[in-house]
Amino acid sequence: MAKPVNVVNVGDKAPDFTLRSLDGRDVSLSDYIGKRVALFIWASW
Amino acid sequence: MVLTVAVDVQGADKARPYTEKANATFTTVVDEANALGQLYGYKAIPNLFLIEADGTVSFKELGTFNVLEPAKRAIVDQWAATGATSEKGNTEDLDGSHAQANAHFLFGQQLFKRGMTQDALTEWRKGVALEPDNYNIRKQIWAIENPDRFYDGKVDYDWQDEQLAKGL
Repeated sequence: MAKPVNVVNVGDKAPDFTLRSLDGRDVSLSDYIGKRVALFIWASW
Repeated sequence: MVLTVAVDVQGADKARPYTEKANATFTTVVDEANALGQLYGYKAIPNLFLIEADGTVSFKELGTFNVLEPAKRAIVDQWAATGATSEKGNTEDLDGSHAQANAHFLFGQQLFKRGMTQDALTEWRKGVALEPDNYNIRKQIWAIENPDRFYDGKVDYDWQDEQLAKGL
């Protein structure tokens, strides 16, 4: 049986996450509540 | 606000030179486990999600958001200035193989962290076999096996096209 797949579409709430910043802080999307956020996801490859 | 997510199992040291070169004033976090590929549902990057003050996604572009292209940067500038963008964005179809492919990726990442690089590569290849167009996993394999084709600001995209043509 196929597992459910999470897909975030336009109109959905952006799921919160916490990741370590390059300068060593834990940063959550929810730190930005009340602000508009451009979330850019990239790689060095 | 601009928040960028650098995806690489090799962590901050691989991402930092890029943001330093760009004199970045924005915050960059590192996603070593491809957590957002699972949470947000994508299998290729670069991606842009525009998120409103109430946390609602108002735009997404997957796989093609090359920030070096002025037209792409203009999307963010227009949205920041006017509150909207005239671009349509895109989406990807994901099926049940995505969660399993990511599970192999995550397992491989744990092996990689323990220095078991060959075992990690084996797990990642299982992930690619399940979801052949998962470029997050595919390129991570390439980047580990061929570091000279990546990093230091010179990514060899012609070489990547050759690998695809060879079915790797």
